[in-house]
Amino acid sequence: MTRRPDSRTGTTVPIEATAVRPGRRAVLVVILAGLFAVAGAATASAHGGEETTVGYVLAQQALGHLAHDTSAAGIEVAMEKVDDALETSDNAGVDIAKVQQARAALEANQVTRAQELLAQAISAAVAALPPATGMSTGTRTIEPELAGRPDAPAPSWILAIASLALLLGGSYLAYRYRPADTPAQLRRRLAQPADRDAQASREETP
Amino acid sequence: MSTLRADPAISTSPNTAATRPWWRRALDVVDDRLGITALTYPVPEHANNIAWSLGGITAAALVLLVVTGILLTQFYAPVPEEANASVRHIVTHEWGMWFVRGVHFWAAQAMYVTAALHLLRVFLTGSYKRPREGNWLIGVAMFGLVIFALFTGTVLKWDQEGYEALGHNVEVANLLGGGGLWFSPDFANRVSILIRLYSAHVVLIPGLIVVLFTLHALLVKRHRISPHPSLTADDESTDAPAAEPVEPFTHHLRRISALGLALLGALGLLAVTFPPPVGPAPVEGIEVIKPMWPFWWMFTLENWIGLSGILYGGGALFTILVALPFIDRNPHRAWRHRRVAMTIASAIVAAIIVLTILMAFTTAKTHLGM
Ligand code: HEM
Repeated sequence: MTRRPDSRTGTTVPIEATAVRPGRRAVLVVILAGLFAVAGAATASAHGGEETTVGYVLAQQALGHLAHDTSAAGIEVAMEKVDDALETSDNAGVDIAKVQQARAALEANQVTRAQELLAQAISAAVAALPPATGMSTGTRTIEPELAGRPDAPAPSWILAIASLALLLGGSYLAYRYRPADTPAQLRRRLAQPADRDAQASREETP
Repeated sequence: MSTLRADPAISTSPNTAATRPWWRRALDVVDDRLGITALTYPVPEHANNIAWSLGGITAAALVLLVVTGILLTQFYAPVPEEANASVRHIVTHEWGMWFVRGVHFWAAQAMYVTAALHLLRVFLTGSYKRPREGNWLIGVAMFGLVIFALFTGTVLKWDQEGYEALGHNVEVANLLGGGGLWFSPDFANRVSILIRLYSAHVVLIPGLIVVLFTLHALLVKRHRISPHPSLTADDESTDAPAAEPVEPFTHHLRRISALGLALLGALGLLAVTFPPPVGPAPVEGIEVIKPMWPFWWMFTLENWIGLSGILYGGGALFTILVALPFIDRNPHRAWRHRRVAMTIASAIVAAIIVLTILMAFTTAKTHLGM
């Protein structure tokens, strides 16, 4: 094991053994204690809110699930939300008849139709929403995921070729501007400091 | 210190001034006022290696993020009712902006990756040791800010992914009690939290990073670049050996610029090949989307022990990073002589990788309000 001189004892002590000194250990203990205190409080307060009973939000949740997953599993969770929306008494601005039609559409696997009906069912509720503050979503309509690029292939090709040119050009310049020696060459050079210039000229003349 | 190799930028003597071309003399006039040639100070050659250029590449990513970010702010509407629609508009209607957005998206992840690699390089070469502990701490602060920027950027899209990330953040802030107040919607309940996070994303975070980076760079200059541990017989030395050849710092800047161009090309290719989609507008009370991959390791912990897993995981990592230079008093810089530090670091890196991979095979679970 590597050793280093210890000023207090005048001897050498293993380095690994001195990695944590008593003073530092106290700091470490304080930090860890603080961390555990926060952690304890965190676990204690990790309780929670309940599921919403607001009708239009339940309908939005159904729409949210359908926007991400139109498989049988997605339809199933959406159906649960639709059922909740039909059961809740807090249904201001919600057209219950439309929600029922949406449920029927979901049962018939007509996802797009169900989405349209749900959106219509809550249109009055979302139109009456005040400007969003705090954590409010402010969501009025729920569109499906949008691809990150418009469907015009021509500019994409130009951009791809320009990018490739930059990548190659930049890499070439970075290679050209590389340091004069590799780390291995530097190591060899520095190993024989007295002989440095002679060695440099040897490397240049093959 | 050894002498510089012959370099015209450095070895100009006043005697030759009359024979210099007119444009050189014009540059001299500018330089007398701005002192640009002061940048040709010598730096040890190993500082031009890729490993020692990772900090510079991170800075190049930051420049790309600022430029593309400024363009995006021209078209982005930071209010909940409009935010998602405005991003869709950016993608479909503003000429070329889908590409700018794609470069911004990929540059953010590139900056995270290069900052992490830079951190690892500084760790592996023991460069955080005396006298560079302060600069290590500035680095840790910047790393935290980079992660915070990734998080706020995700929220700005105001789609389900961003909103769920925000929900997690708010609940973790609640766990912290008063300490998390700023993240709570109750802090200023007359404005949307989106507007506050927007101000953090476009002003506070980049502003702080720029200020801290200025300090970081000044300290690198003041302490001089750390030695390459394998180039010196004495791996406890705080400086590169006097015998190591040097190059002007401008050569370093030149190489970083070239690497920055290559980075822009790579990000452009990613933006064309994998343009980031825009998800559906958010709905409260559902959890259907996984967060961005840099956060996956913390979310695996969350799946195991609940929301507080994020707090423990993130808290532990940053506590270790902050404490490192104070706990690790081993004066050696070569990894071979730092067995304890290397073992612990490998365990941490392996844990983060394994936790990340586990999340790749998991579907989104419900944690909020649990
Ligand atoms: C996030 C943005 C960051 C930027 C833009 C940045 C930039 C730089 C640059 C340009 C250098 C010069 C040497 C090199 O490139 O390797 C440097 C050195 C250094 N950085 Fe960073 N850095 C960042 C983050 C960090 C982090 C996360 C840490 C560690 C926690 C860190 C710790 C250091 C230290 C200790 C040095 C001096 C190392 C030496 O002399 O070899 N930096 N940084």
